[in-house]
Amino acid sequence: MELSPVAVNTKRIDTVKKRNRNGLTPLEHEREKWGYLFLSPWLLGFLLFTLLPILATLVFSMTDYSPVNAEATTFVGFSNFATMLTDDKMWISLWVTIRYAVLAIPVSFIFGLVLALLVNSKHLVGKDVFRTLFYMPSMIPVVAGALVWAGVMNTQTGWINVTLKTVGITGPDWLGEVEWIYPALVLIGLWGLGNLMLTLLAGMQGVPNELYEAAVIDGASGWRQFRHITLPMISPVVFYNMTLMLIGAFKYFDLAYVLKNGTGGPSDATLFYNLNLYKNAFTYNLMGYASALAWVLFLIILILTILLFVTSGRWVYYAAEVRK
Amino acid sequence: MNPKLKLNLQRALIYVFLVILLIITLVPIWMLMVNATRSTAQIQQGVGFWPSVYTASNYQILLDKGLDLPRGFFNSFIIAIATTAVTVYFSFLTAYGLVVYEFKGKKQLYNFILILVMIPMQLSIIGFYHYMSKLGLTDNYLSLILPSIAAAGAVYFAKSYLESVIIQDLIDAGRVDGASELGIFHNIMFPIAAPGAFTLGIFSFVGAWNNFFNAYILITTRDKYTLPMLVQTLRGDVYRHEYGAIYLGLAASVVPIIIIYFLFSRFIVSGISMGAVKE
Repeated sequence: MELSPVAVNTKRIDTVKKRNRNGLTPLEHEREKWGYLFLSPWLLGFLLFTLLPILATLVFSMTDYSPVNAEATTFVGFSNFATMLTDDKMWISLWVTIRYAVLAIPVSFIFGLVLALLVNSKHLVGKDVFRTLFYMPSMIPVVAGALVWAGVMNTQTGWINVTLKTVGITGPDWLGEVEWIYPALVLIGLWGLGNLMLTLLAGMQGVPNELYEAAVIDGASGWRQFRHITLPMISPVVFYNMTLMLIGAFKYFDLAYVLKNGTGGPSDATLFYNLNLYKNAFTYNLMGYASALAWVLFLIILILTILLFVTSGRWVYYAAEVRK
Repeated sequence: MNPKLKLNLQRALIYVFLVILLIITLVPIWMLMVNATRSTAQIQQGVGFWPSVYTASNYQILLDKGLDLPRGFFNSFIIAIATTAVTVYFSFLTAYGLVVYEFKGKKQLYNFILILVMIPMQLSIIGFYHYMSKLGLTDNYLSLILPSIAAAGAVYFAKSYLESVIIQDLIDAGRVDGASELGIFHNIMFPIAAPGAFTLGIFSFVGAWNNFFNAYILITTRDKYTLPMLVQTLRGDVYRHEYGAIYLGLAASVVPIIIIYFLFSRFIVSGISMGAVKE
């Protein structure tokens, strides 16, 4: 028997009629249910491992909670936040973080950009090899990297100072002097800028070749091609990396902790915001105060990110948007 | 100057510069491996570039000081494998739900997950620590592994990947054949998404292997220490003059990662590039 088209039509009308109160057909309703089911493990995990802990931190931030004397916890309102204003360590840690960020972000960025440009240069053979090897240090655990560099920067036996000695320069105590610790940290940070390099490189490789061809016909120099084609075209990737690096400065912990044994030395020069937070929470057991520090950290990151997003309209160019 | 010569000169300069940079980049890793095979006396005498024969004695020193490298290796491996499995499975499950089904609040939920990527872990760690100690899960690997169920960045990656490979016709065909929705995910879509799952898996594995902060806060028994935690103890006074042994400990945490990197660098490089370009 041949299936008549009319029969199919009636069937479809039947299903349409059976819409439930949400205006969904049973099938759509069934699918919606499955959508929620697929997402339920994530939602449950988020609730248990992220949302509840964050709310707990919020509550703690208004108490003097300390795990060693949990029964005596009292509600203290906003006094933890008031304490922060007069807490020298907190201001030092904020200043340390800003100083590091102001030095590290431009240096890493320029270095990453130059590296990406070189690896991307037109006539380079073995691009993949360079790319792979330059990225490799980013894979190494920061803790191990820190100790390796502590060896490299050792005043007596480290090869930086040994090399400097052969040309008659007495190398500094990289990790022991306040004026050398930031350059040292930035230098170690450069070792792990593989992510920056790879993302910039991917951005550059996404720039349509026609743009450069047109520029060459117009007689644009290499620099002008870079300034007016490459840079605008990769600005979304630049923006993405800027955001990551800014957030990264406020989450900075492993390297400072391992290199200086968590002391924050020399003279608090490596007392990063996050290290100060960690010490308050887990060394001094001042979890209430540390929770307040955590919330301020979050607010700082939030404000910086919003600022970046607001200004991004001026300098980030999304090719796809214009094409629309 | 003739243009061809100029071009060649330019190229040569770039090569020289890149090779010098590459040497500076790789020398610390090479020295780390070499020093793991040298005795402390040799290391103190000066810089050496060739392997020596003291690996076994360095290992014996670590053992004598009570540092059990195989144990740390095993611990790190268990945590990394379990974290990887949880991250990959649940991220793809979540992403599949977001890609394939239509439901109220889907768009908002996805945006929410994206915002979550920005939230620093510091904001939750104190509350998290408190809950885990209440539940008796501190010093338990579960507290390191389970939170990966609700990874945020991984869902973003999985969703981008699924969108590029998913074939609606295959899903419909599966339904016609009477496969359950979960069955379609497991038997049809997951195999198709395997390369993406593999890439995500490498990232999760390396991330878990290298994770120091969370493990350092949550794990207290020395027998349960991960490799980075053990490596961190090498800095202590006990090892003050045992450089060879320290380097061997460092090498033990670095070499597996380097091997993984060289085996899968193609996936890693393309995974990072993909994340950047998607935007």
